[in-house]
Amino acid sequence: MISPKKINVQTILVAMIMLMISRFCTAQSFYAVLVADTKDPSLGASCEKDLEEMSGALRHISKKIEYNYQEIICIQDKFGKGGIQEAISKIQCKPEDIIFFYYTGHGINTNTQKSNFPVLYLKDENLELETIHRLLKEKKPRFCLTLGDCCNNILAGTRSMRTAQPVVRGIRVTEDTRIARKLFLESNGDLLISSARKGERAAAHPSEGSFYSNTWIQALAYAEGHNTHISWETMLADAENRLQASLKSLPDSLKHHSQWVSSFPETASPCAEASFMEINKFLNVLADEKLSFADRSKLSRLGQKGFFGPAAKVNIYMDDPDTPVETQPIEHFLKRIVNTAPLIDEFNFVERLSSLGSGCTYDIVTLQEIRKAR
Amino acid sequence: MTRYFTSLFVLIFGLGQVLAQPVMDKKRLAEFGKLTGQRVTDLQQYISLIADKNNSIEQREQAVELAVSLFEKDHLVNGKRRSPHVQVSRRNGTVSSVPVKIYFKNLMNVKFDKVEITSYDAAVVSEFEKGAGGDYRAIATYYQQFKGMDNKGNLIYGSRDRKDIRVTAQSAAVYAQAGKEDLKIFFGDITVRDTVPIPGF
Repeated sequence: MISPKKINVQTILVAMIMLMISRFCTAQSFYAVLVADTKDPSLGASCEKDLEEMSGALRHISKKIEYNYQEIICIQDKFGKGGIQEAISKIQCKPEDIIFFYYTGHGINTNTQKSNFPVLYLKDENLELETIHRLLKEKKPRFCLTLGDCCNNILAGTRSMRTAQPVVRGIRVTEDTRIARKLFLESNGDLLISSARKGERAAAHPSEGSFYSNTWIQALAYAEGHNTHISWETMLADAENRLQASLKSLPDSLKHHSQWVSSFPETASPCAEASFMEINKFLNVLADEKLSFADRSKLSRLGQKGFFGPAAKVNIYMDDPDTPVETQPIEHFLKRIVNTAPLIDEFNFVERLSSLGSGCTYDIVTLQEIRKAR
Repeated sequence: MTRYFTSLFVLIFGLGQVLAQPVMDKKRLAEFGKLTGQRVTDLQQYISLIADKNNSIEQREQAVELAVSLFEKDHLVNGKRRSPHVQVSRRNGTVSSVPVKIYFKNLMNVKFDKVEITSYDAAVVSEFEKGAGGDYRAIATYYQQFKGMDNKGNLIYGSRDRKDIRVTAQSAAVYAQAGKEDLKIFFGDITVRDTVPIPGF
């Protein structure tokens, strides 16, 4: 005779096994292949930081969209063509799955190379980023994203290590899943991204990681917390603006620009000319102290007319967007920014707490003003 | 009956007053402290812009407008109109006090060919404490270096002042569209705590 206690334990065990089986049978997979040159003497620590941050960001996204996260890491002995090929062969992709490939390390390009995207500088044999993207696309996932954060210059060289101020961390984690779903589930197709255009070197911070990876993760996190509308195009344009802002203290010769190609049509957003990316860009250019007072004033007048209603109000918050600490009329706010530009590090516009009036101009603007460390 | 209605009136409207008071916990007050710090550095920036004769008149006047907007409006004290005052240390070692608008106007016309006013240390803001009238008060301290030069750039006078600003966080409809009452920061009088001449001047 089976005791009630035994029945209970057996029932619970069976239920748990069934639940796990059903979960693995039905859940779609989010495959993340993360390749990092963690052994490199100059870049290793930076790559390790990139790996940790990107892994965390992707884990967080897959949890939000309720995908089964499957991570394959290629470091040390696996950091090579063989390791990457092996990782790709492990992906058993279903049509609803997502594949994300990320590379952080050295990269090169050549004059004979047709592709504008870099060649990954691996320990055994080099591999084109575009080739990897093609191999992953052949798996026919719902969405395939390939991101290479590396140099894309003509000759092999050391990736520049810069101690410019790292990007701001500690972005509020939100439980809202809308943005993650829009980006990763509503985009059917593929996206290929590199942190530098052909002929450019990509910069990294010795301990804080690569500049582009940082700004990419930052743009994604801000979009999740601050937006109601998003597309890959605006998100990547915002990451590019953030990259340029973080590189502004470096000489022009060391600056680099991200590039991307996608196969899916861009979804039309309401009032694209007043998108969060455009407002962020306007405010951050306005706070660029390299511009003269006259230029900043001129830009301010143009921006006020183009982006804001005549009676617009600006809510400024410190830590929590829902509880601002100050509200200023738009004219006063813009005048203040023009005059205090050297004190300002960055602006973050909160689209979800801002409201459009008539004619695609904002009546209420909510933003965070981050000051330079003194 | 009249008494009953009076009590009801006091209860309803009195309760309304209590509910309108913003709830300020330590975290929220720390945010206002951070904002005050930013507005103090703004003020220092405006002072530098106003005093710098290399800047255009338009920019200097705009800086005056922005600086004045940080202070309390003129108000009546014992039937007399009063505006916030700024104490200024003089070359002869004395300290005088002028209304805030006059202070910035004087800064536009300092009698040196070149003037440089900079901060030599980070501003400090004390914790906000609740005042008797229900508002919150703090003291912000900033460190100002003054250099007056001739047309060749030779230093004629220089001093370092440690100055205190009386800060009041008054209840105000800061984000009215959300139907909430909150605090608004205003600067009051500025006093010179001490002056250290730059050696040799």
